[in-house]
Amino acid sequence: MYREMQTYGDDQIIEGIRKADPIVLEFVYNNYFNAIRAIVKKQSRNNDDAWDVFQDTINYLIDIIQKEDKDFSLNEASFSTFFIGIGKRIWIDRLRKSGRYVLMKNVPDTDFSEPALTEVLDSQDVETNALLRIYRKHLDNLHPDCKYLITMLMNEKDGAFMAKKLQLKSTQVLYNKKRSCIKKLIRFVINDPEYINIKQHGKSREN
Amino acid sequence: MENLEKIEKYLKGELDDDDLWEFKKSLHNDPQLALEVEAMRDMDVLQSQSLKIDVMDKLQAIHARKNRAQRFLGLPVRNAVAAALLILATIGGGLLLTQQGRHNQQLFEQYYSLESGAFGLRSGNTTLEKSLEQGLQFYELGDYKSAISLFDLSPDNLMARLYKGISYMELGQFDKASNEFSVILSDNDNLFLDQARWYLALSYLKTGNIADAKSHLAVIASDRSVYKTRAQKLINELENK
Repeated sequence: MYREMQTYGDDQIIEGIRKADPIVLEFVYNNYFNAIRAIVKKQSRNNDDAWDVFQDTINYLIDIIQKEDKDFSLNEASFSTFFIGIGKRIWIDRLRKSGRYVLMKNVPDTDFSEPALTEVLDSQDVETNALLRIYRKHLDNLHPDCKYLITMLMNEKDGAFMAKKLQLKSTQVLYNKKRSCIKKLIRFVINDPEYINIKQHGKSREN
Repeated sequence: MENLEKIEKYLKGELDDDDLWEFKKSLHNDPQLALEVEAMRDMDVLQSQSLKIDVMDKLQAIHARKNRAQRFLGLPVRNAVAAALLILATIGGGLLLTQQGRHNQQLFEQYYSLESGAFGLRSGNTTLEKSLEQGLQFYELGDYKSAISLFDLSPDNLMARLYKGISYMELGQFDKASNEFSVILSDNDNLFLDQARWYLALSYLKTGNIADAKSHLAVIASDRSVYKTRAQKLINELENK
């Protein structure tokens, strides 16, 4: 079905993200994913890198919106400049943490003069968003029953109700199954190279 | 991960004094347990990020839909266009690609996927030669020519041979790729036999050497390889062309 291309002003985009409005999110995807991909593509041919950075950028924006609640405004910057600026710094941070930055042959000189991420963005938020993405990725890789179980029980759905729905004998069986699913998820996560990088980077920052 | 129940109790503050003391002692002495506790703690924190999870789910659906739309007959549009141009060119030259040839190419696209270099890069792997480690980093970045030049510095290392072979596949140099995989198979006792045989079979499939492709696939299908199921399916598809 043909759907007319809708355009949104900056404030409407912020409001749409605040409400997780799917139409606004699609607008943001259509207009900004390729811009992020173009930045990432200079140093990586892996499309997953661009998709990861795009998700982290959106989540970082949500952090800002939630911290400032209704007072959030873009001030002088346009949404486009703001979004792409965040995405670029998140990508540089990711390259630095993975040790790939020093190997780059074609990082533009201007990138080296960018302020360090910690001077511009909250590195704790950047890290939390990357962790969230890693957990979601591995959750998606689990068996659908496991994914459903972990998601529902995280949202504190009633155990007895869920046991009945999944045709399990008792709530105890449900919790045992959940534990087995969580074990799998944690095993995937702690062996994820990006997770290991983040944790190692965190330790070196503490020392 | 044997201690999940205890970890959960620890994080909820439900361990009694004796158990808590024991648990903290274990945490101090057991880095794996410490890592698991940290991962569980992260998971608890992350589950509260409901808006982000909602947004990510919706974006994921959009991203998947767009990616599907950008594929044609299971091929990326770019490849499909290239295939179409190739067909037009051959028609213009008085030649037609055989249906069988196209079928094999489609099967290759369907079954070929890039092996992650992360396996070799994991921090636990402390014995990696520096050149190999750097080669894997270039490989991860998609800079296959630089990766190959670094893998060349480790001619006796079979992991370097494997990733060199896959790098050649990415560059479309399937004969060179086959040579690398054959070296690994001729060693006959190493960790990379399954991957080498699978990629060798795919290289043969790509270059139209179906008999050799099938014979390697048959070996994989009769073994306990992680590629067993895929090999069986691919054999069936080659035979039901």
